[in-house]
Parts: sequence; C-alpha cells; structure tokens
Amino acid sequence: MRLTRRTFLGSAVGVLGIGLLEGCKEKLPRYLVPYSAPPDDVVPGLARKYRTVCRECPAACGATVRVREGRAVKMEGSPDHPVSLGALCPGGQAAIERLYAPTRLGTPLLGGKEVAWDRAEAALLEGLTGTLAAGKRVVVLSRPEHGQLGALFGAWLAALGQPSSQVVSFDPMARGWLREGQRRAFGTTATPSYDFAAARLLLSIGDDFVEEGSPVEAARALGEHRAAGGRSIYLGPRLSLTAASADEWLSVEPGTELTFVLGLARQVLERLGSRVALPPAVADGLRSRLAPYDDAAVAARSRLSKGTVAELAAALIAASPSLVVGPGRVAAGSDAAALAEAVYVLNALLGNVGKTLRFLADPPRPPGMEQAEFIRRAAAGEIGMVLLHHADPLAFGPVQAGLAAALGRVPIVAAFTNELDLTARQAQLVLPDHHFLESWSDVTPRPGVQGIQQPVMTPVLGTRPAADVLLAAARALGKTAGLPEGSFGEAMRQAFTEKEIEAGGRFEVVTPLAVALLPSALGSLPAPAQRRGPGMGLPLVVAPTIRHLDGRTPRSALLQEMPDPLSGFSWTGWVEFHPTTALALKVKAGDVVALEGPGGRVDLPAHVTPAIRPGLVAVPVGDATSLLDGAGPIGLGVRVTAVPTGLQRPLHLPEEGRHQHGRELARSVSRAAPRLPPQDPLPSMYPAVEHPDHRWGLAIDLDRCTGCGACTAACYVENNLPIVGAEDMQRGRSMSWLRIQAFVDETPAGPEASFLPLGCQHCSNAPCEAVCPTFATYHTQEGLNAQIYARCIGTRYCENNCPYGVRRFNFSEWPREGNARLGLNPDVTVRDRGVTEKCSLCIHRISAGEEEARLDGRKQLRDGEIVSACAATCPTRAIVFGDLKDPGSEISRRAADGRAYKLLGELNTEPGVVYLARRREKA
Amino acid sequence: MSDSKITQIERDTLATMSSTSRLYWAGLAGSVILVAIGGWAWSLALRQGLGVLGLNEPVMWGALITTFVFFIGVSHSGTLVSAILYFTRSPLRAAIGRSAEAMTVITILTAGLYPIIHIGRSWLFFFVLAYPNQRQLWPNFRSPLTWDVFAISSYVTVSGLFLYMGMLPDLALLSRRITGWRRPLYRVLSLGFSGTDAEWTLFEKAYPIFAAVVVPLAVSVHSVVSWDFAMSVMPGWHSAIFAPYFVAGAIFSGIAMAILLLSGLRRGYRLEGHIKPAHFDLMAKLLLAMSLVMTFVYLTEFFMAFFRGNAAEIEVFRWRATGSYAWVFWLVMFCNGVAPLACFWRRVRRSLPALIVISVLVSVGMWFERFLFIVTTLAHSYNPANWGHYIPTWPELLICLGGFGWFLMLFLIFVKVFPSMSVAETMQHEHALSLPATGDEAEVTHA
Repeated sequence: MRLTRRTFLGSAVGVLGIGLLEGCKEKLPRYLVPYSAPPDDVVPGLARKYRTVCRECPAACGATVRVREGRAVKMEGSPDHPVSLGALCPGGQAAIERLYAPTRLGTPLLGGKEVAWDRAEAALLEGLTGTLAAGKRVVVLSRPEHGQLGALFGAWLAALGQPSSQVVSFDPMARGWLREGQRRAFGTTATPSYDFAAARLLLSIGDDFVEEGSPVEAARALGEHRAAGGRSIYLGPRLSLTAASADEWLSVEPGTELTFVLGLARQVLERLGSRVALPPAVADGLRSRLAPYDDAAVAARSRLSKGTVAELAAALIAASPSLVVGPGRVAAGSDAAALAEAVYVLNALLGNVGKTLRFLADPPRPPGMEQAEFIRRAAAGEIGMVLLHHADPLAFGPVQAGLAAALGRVPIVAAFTNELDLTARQAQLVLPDHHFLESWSDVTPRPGVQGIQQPVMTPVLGTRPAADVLLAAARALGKTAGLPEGSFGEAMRQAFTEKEIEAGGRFEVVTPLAVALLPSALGSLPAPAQRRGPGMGLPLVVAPTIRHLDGRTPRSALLQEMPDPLSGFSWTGWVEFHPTTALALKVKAGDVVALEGPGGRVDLPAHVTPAIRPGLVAVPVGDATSLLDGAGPIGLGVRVTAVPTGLQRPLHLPEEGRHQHGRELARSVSRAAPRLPPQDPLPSMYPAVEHPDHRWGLAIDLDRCTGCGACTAACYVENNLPIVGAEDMQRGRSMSWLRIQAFVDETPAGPEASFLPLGCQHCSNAPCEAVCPTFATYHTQEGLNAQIYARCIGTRYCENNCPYGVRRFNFSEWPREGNARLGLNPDVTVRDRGVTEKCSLCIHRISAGEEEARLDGRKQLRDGEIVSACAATCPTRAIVFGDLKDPGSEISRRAADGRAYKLLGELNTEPGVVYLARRREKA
Repeated sequence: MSDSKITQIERDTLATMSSTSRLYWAGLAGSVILVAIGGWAWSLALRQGLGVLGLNEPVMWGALITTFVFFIGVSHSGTLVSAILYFTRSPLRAAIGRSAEAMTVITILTAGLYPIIHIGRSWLFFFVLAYPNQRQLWPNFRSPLTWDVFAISSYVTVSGLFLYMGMLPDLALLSRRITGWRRPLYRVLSLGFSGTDAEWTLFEKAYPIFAAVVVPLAVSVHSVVSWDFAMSVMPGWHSAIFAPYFVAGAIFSGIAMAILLLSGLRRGYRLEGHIKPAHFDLMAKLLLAMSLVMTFVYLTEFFMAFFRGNAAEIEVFRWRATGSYAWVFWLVMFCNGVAPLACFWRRVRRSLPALIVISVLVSVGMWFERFLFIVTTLAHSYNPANWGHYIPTWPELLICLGGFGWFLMLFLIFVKVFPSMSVAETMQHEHALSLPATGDEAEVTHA
C-alpha cells in the first residue's frame, strides 16, 4: 500500500478507534457518586463522618466512619465511645475491606441458585406458612443481638404466635467459665469490670486480653497501666502478645494452673495473716481448704522453681492494689471454672474487689433459648424452621458438631448473612443482609454502654436488611401485632434521639455492685484437669490471635495478608513448637506438619520458637477448630499428635531475622533508671537540614506497643495499599508501609519479645533521597520524605539504600476485586506498577489540616489536630503524630524523654521518627 | 616487504570478512535465537511487571544488575588494553587491539540495556537523561546513577570514536578492495582517507589523543559504576576500596573475555600466524597479576570489616563466607583467586586449552562475584527483620542469557562488516619485523 496523506490519516483514525474500543472494555462503576443529585450538605471532596458501631467482634467498639462521595472509606474508633476511646483493632480497620470484599453476597440464593428478591421472599413466606401450619417452631439463631434487633426478633416471633424466647444467641468464643467461676466465688453473674490502670501489679493467668475479649479497651487500659509505672506478669504456656507486653513471662506444667493459683492464694493468705480483708470465718475456711497447696507441693507439680510462688505472693501484697485476671483460653482446662473461681478468690484475698475489680449489673435481657435446648428440640423434630442471623456454626468444625447436626434435622434453614459462609452453603435459602455499615442495630457490650449502629451509606450490593425482610414477611402473613409500623430503621430512630445517634450511643456511668466472697468459695475443687485425644499426643494450646479472632469464614483478605506479629506467617495458620519439642518430633521451621486431634486433622507449617513452653503444641484459634471435639469450649483440654508431612512452607524471613543480633533496634531501659546513655550529635560535612515551620514526625513508645498491628491495618485502608496475596507474600513482596517487626531474643531470664512498629523514618539526611536519579523522592520543608510517583521510574536504588528497609516496590498490578475500588481513599493516589512507595506520614491529612487552619485564619496548628492513620487507631497510644518543632506538643515531650532514641542513630540519618525504649525490670 | 607478503597479510586479516564458514552462521543463528528468547522474557516483565523476576524486599537488585556490572567490567579492558598497548608500542596490539576495542563498544551497548530492562518503568528511562524541558526538571546530580549515565555515555562515545578512528586506514583500504554492497559503506565511512603522507601525519597525531583520553575515562567509568555501591550506606558496599577494586576486576574479567574471543577468532579464521602463543602468554601474565590484585582486595575487604568493628559489616562478611550464599563465595574465591594461579607456570600460559578453561572460570567467577556482593549486602544489612534471600527466576536468567546472545550477535556482525584485525598496523608491524630483529622482539615472535 502506498502511504499517502489520505491513507495515513485513514489508518491513524482506525488505530485510534481500535484503541478507544479497547479502552472501553474496562468495566467502570456507572456512577462516580452513588446519588445523581447529592443532598445539599454533601460537598464532593469533603468527607462526612458518621458514628456507628464495629460489629466485627462482640466487643462492639464505637466507630467513626469517614464517608467520601457516599462511600465509606475509613473506619476509626469513636473518641466518645467508652470501649474504643478513639481506637480500633486490626479487625475493625479491616471492616472496610470486608464491606467491599468480592466474597460479599448481593443476590439471594434459593437452593444454591441466584434468585430475585421477590422469589426469595416468597420462599421465606412459604417456609413460614408451612412451618406454622404444621405447628412446628420457628427459631432465630443469631450472633449476640441484645438491643433493639434482639427485641425485634422476639416481637416478630411473638407476632407469628411463637414463644418470643426462641432466639438462640450464638457466641462460640464466649468464655463461659469466667461467669461460672464468678458465680461460685461471689454468687453474681454481673459483668466484671477491671481497672488495669489502677493496678500496680497485674497478673494474668493465661488471659490474652490483648488478643481476645475486648482487645481495644484492654490494650488502652494496659497502656495506661504501663505509663503509670505498673508492672505485669503473665502466666501461660506461650509468649503471646499479652505475655510479650508483660514484664515477666512464667509458665507452669499445663494442667497445673489451678494448683499454682491455689498455692499463690495460700501464700497470700499466710503472709497477710490477720490483715486479710475478709471475715475471719471465710478466711479460716479458705485457710483449711488451701492447706494442701504448700510451696513444695505447688513447685513439684507446676515445675516452677521453689520460692517463685512465695515471691509472687509477696510482690502482689506489696503492690496493692493489684489485679489478677483470667483464666484465658490458653490456661483453662477442664477445670476452667474452678480456676476462674480461684482467681476471683485471690483477688478477694488481695483486697482488689471494689478497687481494681468491680461488678456491674447487666441491663435486663429478654430470655433466649439455650443452645442445648435448641439441639434437643431439633432432635425431637419440633423445629420446623431456623433463621440464621450472622451465625456460622459450621465454621467451627467438630466443636459445633452438635449444632451442625441439629441444623441438619431442621427442614428449612434460611440464612441472613453477608457472605456465603460454610453454614449458609448448607442453607436452603440465603438472604444477603446489609453490611453493618449499611444497616441499623444497637449493641451493649457492657453495662452502661449502648452503642448505636447506623447505616453510613447506601448499600453497595442488592442486599436487604434482615429486620426489614422479617417485618415484610410478618406483614405479608398479616401478623403484625406488636411490630413497628415502618421499617426497622424508623423504629431505631424512634428508640433513640437524634443526639444519641449522632454521638454513637447512650453512655452512662454504672454504679458497681457490692459483692462479697461467699463462704462456700473453693468448697469443691475438681480433680486434676484431664485431656482428651490421642494418648501419645502433646497438649494443644489454642492460641487466640488478634488477626482472626474466632476464625470465622471467609476470612478478611487484609487480615490474612498481615503477618502474624510473632510467628510472621500470613495467609496460613501455623503450629508452634519449642526447639526441643521440634527436635524430638524431627520438625524443622517451615515444615508442614500434620496434626491430629480428637476432632480431626489439619496440616500447618511449623514455627519453631523459644516463645512456647517445651512439650506443647500451639495452634491459632481459627485453624485449631478442626482438631477439637465438641466436648468443651474451644481450646480446652485436648491432646494432638504432630507428624511432619515432608512438605515445606517456609517464610520469606530467614530464621536468623527473628533476633536482634545485639543491634539494639528495639531498645530497652531498666525500670529503675529509665534513661538511655546520651548520644553526642555526629559530625556531618553538610549543613543541617532546616525546617522553617513544621517538622512532622512520629513518636513511638515501645513501652506501650503490644504489637497488635492495628496501625498496619489502618495504613492499608487509609493509603490504598494493595493486597498482594499468599504467593507474593511468601516471596517477600508485602506492600505494607508500616509493619510490626517482632524480635524474640534469648536472654538469661528466658526469651524476650520486642515489637518495633517500623515505617519510613522521614530522615533529614535520607540515604534514599541522595541516590534517586530522578528526584522522585525528596525532603519537604515540613520534614517529610516525600515520594513523587509520577517521577519514579523504579530504579529501586532508594530501596537498596534504605538502612531500615521500609520502601516498597510495585512488582505487579495486584487486582482490586469486587467493589474494592469503591473503598479507595480518594485523597491518596493509587500507585502504578513499577513505582516505589512508602509511608507518606499521611501527607493528605497534613495538607487537609493545614488547609483547614488556613481557612479558619489560624497561623498555628493545634497539637493533635492532625493525626496520621496509624497514630489515630493505636489502642495503647504508643504512636503519637505531631510537630517536633512545636515545643508544647506531645511528640516533643516524648522526644525529650530520657528513653527517646533514633533508630540506627549511628548512621546519622536524623530520622523524624522517635522511639522510646521499653522499660524492663532489667535492661 | 614483498607485494606477495602484503597480499598475504591482507588476505589473512580480512579473512573474517571475505569467507563465511558454517560455524559462523551457526554462531550467528544461535546468538539471534538467544536474543529472541531474552527479548521474549523481557516482554514478560514489561507486560506483567517485574513480579516475574525473583527480586523482593530486601533484595531489589539481582541478576540483571549483576549482568550489567559484568558487561561494564568486560568492556573495560578492551579499550584500555588497546590504548595501553598502543602507548607501550606493544606488538600484541596489532593482533588484538581491534577486537578488544570492538568488544568494548559492544559490551557497553549490551550493558546499557540492563538498567533499562531492570527499572520498573522502562518506558520512562529517559527521565535520567539531562535534557532541557519545559518544566525545568533535571536529573539528580547527587545520584551515582546519574553519574553512571554520564560516565557510560562518555565512555561509549569516546571508545566508539577510538575504534572508528583506528579503523579509518583500513576502511579506506576496504573501500578499494571490497566489492558489492559494502563498498559504498566504506567509501562513506573512510571519510576520504587516501593514505597520503599528510593524512598519516595527522592520523598519527590525532590517534594518541584518543588513546590518552580513553585511558582515564576507562578508569573513571568503572570507578563511577563502583560508586553506585560505594556511595550507599549499606554494609559491604560502603567502602573506599570499591573504585580500584572495580577497575581491577574489570581488567581481570576483560582480559579473560579477550582471551576467549581471540582464541575463537584465531581458530575460526586461521590467524595463528598473527595471534601467537606469545601474545596469549602476555595476556596470561596480566590475568595472573590481576588475579593477585583481586585476592588482595578480597582479603582487604574482610580485614577492613573486622578492623572497623561495625557489627553490620562484620555480619555481612561473615555471612558471605558462611551463609546461604557461601557456595557462591567459595566458587568466586576458587575461580578468581585460585584457578588463575596456574598461570605461574609457563606451560599453562602457553597452552591455549588451559587458558580457555581458566578464562571461562574467571568469567564465571567474576559474574558470581558481582552477584555475591550485590545480593549478600542487600539480603543481610542493618535490620535483621528485613533479612531475606534471592533466587533468580527463569525469565530473569533468560534475559541475562539474551544479553550474552546480543553481545555475541553484535560481535559476529562486527567481524563480518569490519576488519577484526588492523590491516594497517599488522603491515607496519610485519614491516618492522622484516627489518633486522632486535633482541627483545625475537623472543615473542617465535612460538
């Protein structure tokens, strides 16, 4: 073909057209903003904030959701909510990721096939009519819902002519033994309330409160406790996050925790003598019951060295008020309730009741149906229909086998759920519910706190709120007696005032109950704990983890991606062995090991660590459920065998990277003299870098850090970090801007864990800046080490030259599945493949804060006005963001502390991140 | 010199251009295939991202940068050797000068590909060039990578001109001797050089200037490449010895590559009469000397690490010798430090097969030496929780292999298009030999 002007133009247009068509293939969301005419008070580009409640776990932290252009983009703790006090755990941070997750269900399923809502609702009606006509029972099996929604379930059942108590509360992780022990010791079932901050010595009997229960509230309290100079001791089989945050880690022979606590109680009683704050009759009774638990007997059984118990008793008495908490999942055996009772008795002996341990009366709750009753009635064929409401018993494997079997006997199971979880897969009818950020409810995690869950945005999928589906069904059946007229949301708006909804709930101070130790306490002590499972097996420790809480399915991609702070594994569970145990079992780190317990088998990679007592096997909760049987609460009293399979799943991090090698990265100081040796400024050939107005930075107090990783999760959500998946994580391509580095170092006193939250240090003399050939990274006037993505060509020289190793490279373009793109923070650029990125110190938040001050006509920014995402969510306030040039700021106060140091200070990089050394008994 | 002798020299030296053996075609085909495979592997990286490579946090530079430094090293010796031989009036120059210079230019052209392949956004590589633009954005002159760009581009320009300049008389000769499509090419390229006395006088004046410029430039280019590493803060990289270490390493690997290429040419084009065992003997001596220098540098590095007492640096060197890459370390020590010691024996120096084996070992050793210090430092630096490891993936290795194919392909094309031995210099040299022999020259002319 001859190329003339005509043919050239013709073909150019053709090529352009093909290019355009190609471009159109990409499926973009139809609307940038979910409403075509936004409400008057919505300004595109400005965020709106709503108070609501995080429903990722029963702790029900209060949350503030930032909504941009009608889409929730970030969740943070609500500062007014007494449980969260402005912070959230990693699970709460990941809620946004789950909201837009591709695993969310948007269409009802009937018999496993997608159907329209009218079909699904007709099927629900049909089921209800049939069940009612047959005279059978309709039961609601729900996650704990004790507020308006729970009441609605009852009222709805009543309207249908059923007993309103047919609501089964499904809380598989409930630690029932604590309430039982409390009932035996004090005769009350009120909710205990612990005051960590007031306790001068905190003893945890295997209670992993940093991981389980109400982790945000507990971690906050722990941070205050440590800041006030409190000491803590952890007794448990493994060095968990809670143990690592304590000053001392003790472990006893598994199954002898009760003996230990009773021995401790005896020592306390002996040492206090007549000073004990109990009526003489009660004290005498205890004295006689505790007589067999002398030091020698306890030391022999628990394998602790002699005198340890006595020392501990003396320390507890000296540090009044103290507090003993537990037993947690890892310490409790078949004698859990007795152990809990003994712990309460110990607190009573130490005079902690009323000081650090209080009991708060629970608000009245409508009666429900016990799980056992449900199983019995289902077996008898009385139950015709079950409505599951965010309950996934099948995810708990053999532990909930009874419930699973009972569900199997129910003719019709309908599931209200967000995702197609294991139980919903078995249900005939699946009715996708709104996410908690799209729907109404209220939660009372503890007396005096009633959090209101309100929708913060229009639903992303074609879901319908469970409450409204139920109401519609009742209306269709013509049975509306006692039910609200309108929608459930309208009922919620009537139940609470506008102000309460705005504040996120109804909060009041509850007067503690006066309780006294019962004379019958410790009256009947059980036989030593027994373990079930293969005779040759090793005792199994079911370890709670902050990442997966209960291990429900399907798991959050973000939480799976974040490496477990201590083991370092991501996208998989793991099994922990002490090096001596591993040697005996011929297991090496990274070997895949087949575990077999009474409930079944699971294959997991091995983590060999001194941070566990020899002779034990520890598995995180979510992966342990398939090993357990249904004979007791999750985690108690099971033995398992461990055999290497010959397969490998090593970590990217080599084993030797788990120790500090004496490099003093995570430093510590002695509690007696909490000062680091002063360091003279190092000479430099260059003039010092000037920061005329601000020098933004972080101060990270290692004394407060529990390694929970909430900061990491918050950073992922705030800064649109891609999730790279299991394979790339194993190849060492994590994109996290802020990671928790854990070191477990051997000391004469045993293994010592330290956590180092590590992100960009924003150095004044940044090694990365000098080497970038294109000025893609440079130092701003405000002290930020900024990265210009558009200018980055990806030489990765900066990454090589960063002594901290905090820069990240976009090796691939990792897909954002489902509606994940809707959850992207519009204030932060989404990075291209081939560029380097790293912590920006939330530069968009800094700009927004400065802009706001400018609009207000203020020259000065208030300390705390601008907060980075990591600092905002830190439950212990270990991370503080601020201006190092403002002498009155919290960060400047911290930087002037004797514990302050700069990481790898000998390199003279002059970081903008200040670390505060951890206080230890002996540095 | 008789006319028949002149014709003989012309025939021999131009043999590479006139006759094409099957071996040549096989070599060319093989190298083109390697280039195609390497190109395909690169296209994978372009389409899917550098995720197809084995790189990771913390090892962000790997086999590609290793190959880059390796080729820069190889390039080094060519021009340098040629210029030094020129100044020392060494008889060896007539035989190997041209191919050494060509090797230099070709290896730089090969090496220059790697930084472009290796960066995350290859299509934006021009950001590192200092070109005037509306936004007044310049590269960062503090960055050793920017220095690299200048050093390498200067080096390729000057050594290219040096090669071209030296070829002028030959091109002029060729424009008369050769027929067919190449004739007009040489006519243009010879710039009208006709061999008059005036031209020769000018030529003899100009050529030393290039030779003089190219020597310090050759030293500088490898020093600058070494500063990519030495200017960093990383343990095992941040060391003042790096510049001389790289220069020595470059000469070392360059000699080895020159021995390999010349033995190939000698064999392929029956140049036994011109490239004599005595020449190989001299190169072997240089190889041996450089090997001793390298061993000294290796020992100095270890000594300095322990002498300084920096924990991170001590650990890097300890790990190099005993960690996951210990096999690379000992391989390097054997190839670069032990194997060349055989050149102490005259019999080894005079045995071409032995020299080939040693040169192959040295080339392998020098590639792995760069791999060793790049990877071990990155994988084992200041922060233990950021330690890691790196294994190249097959696309990565194919890209490296493609580079060798590219190098071989360009070289084979070069020997077909340009005289691989200087006709003029060989004639001058042979002419000098036809005069009564002096004592020291007699030694080297007899095998």
